[in-house]
Amino acid sequence: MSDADIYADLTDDERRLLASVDGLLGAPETWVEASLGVEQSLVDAIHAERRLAGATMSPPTVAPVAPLAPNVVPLRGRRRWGPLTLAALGGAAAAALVAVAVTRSTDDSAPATADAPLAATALGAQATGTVTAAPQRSGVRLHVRADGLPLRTGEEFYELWVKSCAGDRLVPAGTFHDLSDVVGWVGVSIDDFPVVTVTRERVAGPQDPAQGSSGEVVLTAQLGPACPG
Amino acid sequence: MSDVSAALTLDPAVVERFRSGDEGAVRQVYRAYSGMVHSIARRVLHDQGLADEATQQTFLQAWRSASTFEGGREPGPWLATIARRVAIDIYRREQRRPASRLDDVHPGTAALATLPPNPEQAWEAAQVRLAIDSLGPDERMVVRLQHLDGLTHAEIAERLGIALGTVKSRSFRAHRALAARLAHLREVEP
Repeated sequence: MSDADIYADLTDDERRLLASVDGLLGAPETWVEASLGVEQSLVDAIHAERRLAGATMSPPTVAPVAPLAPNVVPLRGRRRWGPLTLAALGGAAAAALVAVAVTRSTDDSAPATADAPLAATALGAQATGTVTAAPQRSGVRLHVRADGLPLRTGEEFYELWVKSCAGDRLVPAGTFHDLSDVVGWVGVSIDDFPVVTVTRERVAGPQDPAQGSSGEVVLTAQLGPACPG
Repeated sequence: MSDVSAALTLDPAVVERFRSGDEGAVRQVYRAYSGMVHSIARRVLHDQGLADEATQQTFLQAWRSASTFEGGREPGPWLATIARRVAIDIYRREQRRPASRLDDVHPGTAALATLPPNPEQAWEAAQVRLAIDSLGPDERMVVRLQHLDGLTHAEIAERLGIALGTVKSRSFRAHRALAARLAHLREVEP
């Protein structure tokens, strides 16, 4: 602190008190803010728990809440997507048809968040799960919770991806031994890459074609509207 | 440790609606306390993404157990306790399950960080953040520029394009308000 008179005109008692917390006042951790999207993710999570419990979250009964801090800028405007069509997960896999209910943010202060069930292919056997995509300033945070998949160890792992509707563009989101509660990140929009897949992978060398997806999809989900065709 | 908090003033009716799971109340409580909760989580985890996760989990756990929260009380200390516990759980999980090559890990990553703050340190940090959040935006900005960015009054005046006297008066009001809100932290003289 370079101002000698920063506490000018305060009492000695006040000066002593503030001096005792000076380190906290100047610590970056004191001033941090949660990322955009956390609030909506929280509300979505509560909705999800209410749905699981067979209840409906009570509607807002209060006046509009106070605006966010001035340094928080909404990424997207008001938007709501209703229940969406079924997503076909065909092929030889015993893919399930799942009704994907995606709720977009209705709050100007938060970016859109989407969640969808993960459907197992034949390779995924009895696996079930959910994925929540939360766009944030640094990218899209993908929160996956899946059960029923065996632990992969050593040089074998699961890999989380997002891909375009046409399936011609694929972006990795992380590799994992276990998918019970993991978070992956991608630096692309889920509007452009709305299909989420989990594949089985093995370690490969840098020039090995196996560096890409093995194609052994065990779980898949559709975020947002079903892909055309 | 005192239960007296320098927290924001939140309408008790909002707290009651939060206890019943009302979405609007959840959002209001989140906006009143997410800064404090995130600050605690960040202090433990040293990572924005993990602190975000901890912030969401804190409010989710609070919502789940809201019916057990004693009505009429200020929720700040309760949330701070949950936040610290959630953050430490995530911290331990990350230590068990490193997911990045060491070369790729930022020096501040939770897995490499020192032990999380003890409850008194976390509580004091939470009180400071709540006191800051109670300031008006103009006063808060001056305090931030002074303490976080280390600017002088003159530099703040230049940065904000306002008169030096205005900076001084805002600084005085802000620090007096902070001192008042943090008065319960004052150590008892022997």
